[in-house]
Amino acid sequence: MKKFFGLALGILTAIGGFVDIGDLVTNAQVGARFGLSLGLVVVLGVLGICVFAEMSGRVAVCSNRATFDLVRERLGPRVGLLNLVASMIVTLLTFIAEIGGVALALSLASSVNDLLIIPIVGLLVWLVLWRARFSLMENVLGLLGLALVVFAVALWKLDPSWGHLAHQTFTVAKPGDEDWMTYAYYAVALFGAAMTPYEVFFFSSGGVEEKWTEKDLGQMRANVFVGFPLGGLLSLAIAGCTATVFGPLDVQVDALSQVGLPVGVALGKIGIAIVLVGFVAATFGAACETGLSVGYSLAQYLGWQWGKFVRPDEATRFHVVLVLATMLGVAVLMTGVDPIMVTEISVVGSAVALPLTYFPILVVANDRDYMGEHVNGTLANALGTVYLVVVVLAALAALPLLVLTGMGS
Amino acid sequence: MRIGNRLEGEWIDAMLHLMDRQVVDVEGRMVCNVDDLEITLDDDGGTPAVTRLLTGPAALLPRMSGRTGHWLRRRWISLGIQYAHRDVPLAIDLERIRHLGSAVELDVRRDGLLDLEPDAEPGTSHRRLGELLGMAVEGPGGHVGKVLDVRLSADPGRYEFGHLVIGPGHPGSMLGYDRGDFNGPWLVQRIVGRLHRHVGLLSWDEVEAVDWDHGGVRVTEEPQLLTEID
Repeated sequence: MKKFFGLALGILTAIGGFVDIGDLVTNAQVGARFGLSLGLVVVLGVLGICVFAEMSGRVAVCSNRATFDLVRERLGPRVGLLNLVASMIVTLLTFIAEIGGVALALSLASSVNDLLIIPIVGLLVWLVLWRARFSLMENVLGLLGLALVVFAVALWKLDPSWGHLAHQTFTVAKPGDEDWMTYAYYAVALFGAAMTPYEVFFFSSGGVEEKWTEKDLGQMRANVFVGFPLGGLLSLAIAGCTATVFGPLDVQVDALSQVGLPVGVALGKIGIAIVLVGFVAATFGAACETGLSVGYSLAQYLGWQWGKFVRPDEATRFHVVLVLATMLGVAVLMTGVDPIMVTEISVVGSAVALPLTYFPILVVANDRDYMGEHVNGTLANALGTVYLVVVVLAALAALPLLVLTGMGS
Repeated sequence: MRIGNRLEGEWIDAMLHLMDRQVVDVEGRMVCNVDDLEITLDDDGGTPAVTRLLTGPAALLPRMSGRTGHWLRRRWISLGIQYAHRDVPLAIDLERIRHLGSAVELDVRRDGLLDLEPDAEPGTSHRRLGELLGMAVEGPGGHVGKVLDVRLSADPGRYEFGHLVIGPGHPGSMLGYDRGDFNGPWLVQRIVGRLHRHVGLLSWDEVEAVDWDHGGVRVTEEPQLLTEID
């Protein structure tokens, strides 16, 4: 019974923790502009993050070493440093976007200006990073994040033409008024939103934090292969909602309030209340994960003690990095920069930085020296190779597309 | 899960198995990364050996590639110009290592562990592995390649040079596809394997001279290709 409970808890938190500000914003934007015609990209991205997370989780279990530890070992200090800088920039951008997202969600609920809320959010995030137990943080925020299931309910209530949505998805039907360049740009953005590098830093470091052993491999795989795809369905539901409500009106989504609006249309005030809880939990959870990821990657590169599995006074440098990262995030947001814009940049940045961490993990997952009998099997390697190609193509295309389309405008 | 102890094997590849690994203390707390390795040279021409793990900015920065590394090192020194030991790395004796696997596990607690690298004993001098890696290798017939790694024998407290791993120095030699037992993925193995098909092994006995100051190794024989050994 206890085992079943643990399994269910793990899967539920994986679902609730899957969606972050990047998924919320990008899926809503794409839904409003392109309907579900990019739905298969979400599927591609979700399968990709499953493959990637399973590999890095397995590496963490078998070798007790998390992602950035291995990046430096396998690429050397020089290339590793370039890798660190690129990954940290992207993760910090995501971190800033998540804090901004929490503030926006709270300001929607309270009508207090988000600039007043940002410092408080920053303080709360830091307190959680400093004091809260790792598993408590994961479970509470992951479970509250399940409130976003309300998007699926809303979509069902909106009762769209299901045949039409399915047709859009499977025929990859680009709307006539959009050009292929913009379409490709949003495809890359969606892919980057689903496959963010921080999820992998966090997942592999989390495996060490929670002291996974080989016995936990099954639980880890269940979280990844059941939890993530169900979380991915939420992404699709968000796109479906905005497609149904905004699509016919030709409205662009550029505020968090618009992301939640379809739920209000479908379910009224109660829907809005639930969706706000979901927004706060999802972005706050992701803020904690990205904040920790900044500390993880720097500490692992330099060999410092990291993690919440030791007391803060045993990992002092790690906690100093967390404080500085949080202060930096708050400072950037206090300039009045639009968190939605930071989000848009961060998802494209994710696509660019992804191969840097993907490749070393793929290599190490094949190394008997680290993995013993748990090296990649044929399926993991076949999928791993396909995704290596996809990830490199997306990374190469991302920046040119960003420039050529003027960020998809 | 803990993989086997490399110290119980016949040899260790310094770069592949030791450099840049996480150092962990007896309680599992993290100490530092292996930023470089101390090499002790015998003035009488005895076989060189790796004698200490080195760590800290003074060890890491010079490894950051030729000119950049030099620039970084000078900036690091100028940021603390008043300190006597700014350029001296911190060191851990090899005797402290009790297990070498995916991490370097020590037999002591980390508190107050790291101390400055001591001066070399009379009749010996210290160099670093980072200096040797990447040096051009000249054979009787001209250019042979670059030093990619050093194969060491794992004697307690002193890892003596056994072989040099020499190759053209294409990117990715630290991935270990040229050595180790990999099973894939096929595409990566083919590409990396092709880049490194000329990687070879040469016994230290065939090394005639190492020019530490200007960077260069003179050998008396061509290395034996790894692809032919296996």
